[in-house]
Amino acid sequence: MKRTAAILSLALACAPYAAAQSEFHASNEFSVVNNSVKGAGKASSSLTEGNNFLEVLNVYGSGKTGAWTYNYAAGGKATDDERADAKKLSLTNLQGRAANGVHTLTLGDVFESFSQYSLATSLKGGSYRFNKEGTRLPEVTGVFGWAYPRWDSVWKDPVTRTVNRQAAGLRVKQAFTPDLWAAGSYVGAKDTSRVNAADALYDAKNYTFDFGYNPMPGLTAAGEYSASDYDEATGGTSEKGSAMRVELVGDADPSRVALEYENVQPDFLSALGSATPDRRKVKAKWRYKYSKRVTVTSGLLWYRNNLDGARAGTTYNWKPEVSVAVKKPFAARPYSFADLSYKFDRKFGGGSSGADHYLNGNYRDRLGAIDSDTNLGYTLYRTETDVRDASEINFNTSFSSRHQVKSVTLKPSLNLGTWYSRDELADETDKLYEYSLGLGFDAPGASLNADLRLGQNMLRKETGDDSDKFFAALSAYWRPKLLAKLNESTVFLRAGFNDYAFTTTSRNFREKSLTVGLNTAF
Amino acid sequence: MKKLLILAAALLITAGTADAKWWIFGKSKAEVGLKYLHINKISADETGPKIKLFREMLGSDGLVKISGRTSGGQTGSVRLTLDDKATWTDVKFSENGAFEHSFKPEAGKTYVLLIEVTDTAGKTNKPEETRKELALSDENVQAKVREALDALFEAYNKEDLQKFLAGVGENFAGDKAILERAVKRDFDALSSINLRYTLNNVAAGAQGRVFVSVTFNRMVIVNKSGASSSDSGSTEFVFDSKEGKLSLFSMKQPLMFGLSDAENVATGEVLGNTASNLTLDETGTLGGGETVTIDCRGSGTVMKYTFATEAQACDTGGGSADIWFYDWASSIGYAVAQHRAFTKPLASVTTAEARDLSSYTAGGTVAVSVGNAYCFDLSGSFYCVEPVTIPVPGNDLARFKIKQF
Repeated sequence: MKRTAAILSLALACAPYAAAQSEFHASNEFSVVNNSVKGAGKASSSLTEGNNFLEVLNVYGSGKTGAWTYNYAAGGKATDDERADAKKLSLTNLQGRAANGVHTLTLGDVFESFSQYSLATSLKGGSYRFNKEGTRLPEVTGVFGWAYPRWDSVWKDPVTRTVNRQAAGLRVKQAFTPDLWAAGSYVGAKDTSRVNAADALYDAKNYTFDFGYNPMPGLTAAGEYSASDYDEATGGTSEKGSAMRVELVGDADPSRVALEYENVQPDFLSALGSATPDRRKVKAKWRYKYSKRVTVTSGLLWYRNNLDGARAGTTYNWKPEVSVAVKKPFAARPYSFADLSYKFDRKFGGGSSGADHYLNGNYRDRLGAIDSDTNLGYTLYRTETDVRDASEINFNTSFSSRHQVKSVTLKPSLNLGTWYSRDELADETDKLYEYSLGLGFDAPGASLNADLRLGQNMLRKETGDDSDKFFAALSAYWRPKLLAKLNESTVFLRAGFNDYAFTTTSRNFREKSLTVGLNTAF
Repeated sequence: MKKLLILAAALLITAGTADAKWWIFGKSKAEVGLKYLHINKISADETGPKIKLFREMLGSDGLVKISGRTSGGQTGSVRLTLDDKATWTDVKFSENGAFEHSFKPEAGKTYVLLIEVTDTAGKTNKPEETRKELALSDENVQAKVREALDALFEAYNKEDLQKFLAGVGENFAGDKAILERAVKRDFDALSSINLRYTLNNVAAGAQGRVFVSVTFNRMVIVNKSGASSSDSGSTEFVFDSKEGKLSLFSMKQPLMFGLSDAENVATGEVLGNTASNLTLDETGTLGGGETVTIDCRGSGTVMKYTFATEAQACDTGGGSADIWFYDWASSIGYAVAQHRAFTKPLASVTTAEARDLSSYTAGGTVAVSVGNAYCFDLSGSFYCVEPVTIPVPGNDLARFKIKQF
């Protein structure tokens, strides 16, 4: 494995010299951060104290040699802050690709997303695709590699080591007509090398069929069926399952209608794809432009679990919703916009029973030179099992404007918000108040822009600790002309201050953070 | 199930021969136009008016491929412009109206694409309806990933649901409606959210999807308890590319967003995850898992529970279940392989701790107290519980939080 990685790295490193290079780009960001945390409760901070650095480098190149075109990309990260990365030095991406119009070969980071249930994650390895356009030959894609989340795992670094998941897949896609295609695929995943004694080790196979169909303009149909067959060594289980989904979308003014059906059996396993097992789902969504000003959106989502009846109870979910968006609700106010929505959640069965209501109103407008955005929400949580019976109100409003002073643009803003929660079971009321002031600064002539924001969040609890957070944040970006040859070079500064104060004063702490960096690209 | 499939098939067959678009209530008229249009294999219906392309998403030949098929009468000509009608290029088409055109874009330049279709009777489509602005970005895909993640993290930190949802794709794998409600519950449960990340790995695929692995660092205040919580770890996202913008397609555990319905929002767990999967329970409390209540008042003195089936039972003696509470002792009896006791709540138990077999012991019973977590090994499956109410004689009711690791 190490040898494979070394050969891969060498091949990619040599790629620029293999032929006359036609394009090469690089970007680099280097920053230094100083964090200081003080106070008795400093252990709660998520900052690493002291001086740390972060370096991120990316290169990209492409070229042509004979009938083949190629490109390559590589990137790395270095940091001494364990909260930014467990590794001090790591490879963030590595990929080389060559194609001649029919054959495409990719090595390194390979992301051939076959379909949602079969393969929807990247691999460290290689892929080959055959696609001869203008013929009736099918498109064939083969992929092989390891499903490691990062490169350090490939060389079994102790800090980032994971279970070794080896994957191989093949997909054959045939376009029968310009409007209809179908594909069949096989994906196998085999786990070895436990990190912990209890790690599950799968030997899984997925056989998948998917299709796409455009029967008429604006109407698309797509679907997928996948069968899985797996053995798990730790628990000694072997299961077979299947998943399927069908989606129908009609999209042309004034309507967009989407219908979806999904059925994922409890024993379905998608080792390299995306699926939520034990779920049968039906979804319908309709967006209707009633007029140029009014759009109505409605939807219904229903799903349940316990498809094999193995659980003692089945949980059903109903989630209907409706919203109305109105442009210019007041004819005299050209920038006015209102949106009102109601959503309902009903969940019952399997020992739970709840009915939650979400009501939300939003209004945006321009009052003279001031833009305003106001949101008012009401939520009612209701359960028959005495888990959560509460009503909550949240309100936020913001005002912002732009002022031109010679060549400088100033963008002041004000945000106010409150949240009120009444917990009927605990017979408690909690409140949250927040405000913030902002000032944006844009000086294109000096290639400078900045943003300053400060504010406070205050949580007031009937029982338990109250908390106050005062915050201030400054970010500034400058593109110096000296660096104009390096197209997108930017010097940046970010400073932050957070002061947390609790009723229990031993929890109090303050954070100061200062970051200075340089971003270059060519 | 079979009925649904038959219905779907019938609908598709009918749709293919329908004269009017049923979903726009007869407002459509058969006219010259495009049956479909794909730009680099992505349907133009799925993109907005502006399309930003990235080098990593082009083929290795660096070409943008425009393909489509005409609709209406017999096709007479197809031509396109890339400079907003200043110049037009004739495009070859087949008998059935299918056409394809490729060009190599230059970085930083905007191409205004319009397609004109004329049938043999001289009728033309409305080219303005096909208008798309295409631009090849100078940025690499990593910069775009950072832009998308920055927007999601900032909206979540500011508890701005609308802005957050703007970064989520319509076909989000866990379902966008479920994520929306889960994030809304997150915002009701948390305040002073501070999420940060750095990129570990980015891989762009030819189909426009981008895989992202990040190291995250998080601090939140839980409104219900007033307590703060901080954690860090590694997680994964997949993004879809749309309108030159990346939108969230899927997330894995440990979750960054939608902690209130983690089971339905996450599609899988990061391979080798050792971090605590931060979740919010139904009450808005951090990491507690689901709350289970077994009410045996008047029907038994032993409250039994089976993890996999969630079956509850009332009895007068132990056995025939995975775990059981006695009303005469503050202890849990169990029939599973072994247990591990923690002197901390369920929210603080990490996956690595719950799965660390070296700290498990076999005993058949474990003394328990409210607020502490107790994990049970079911031959490779791990369930942890935290008693909330321990039954006593006269009040045979057990309430506990449960979480699978």
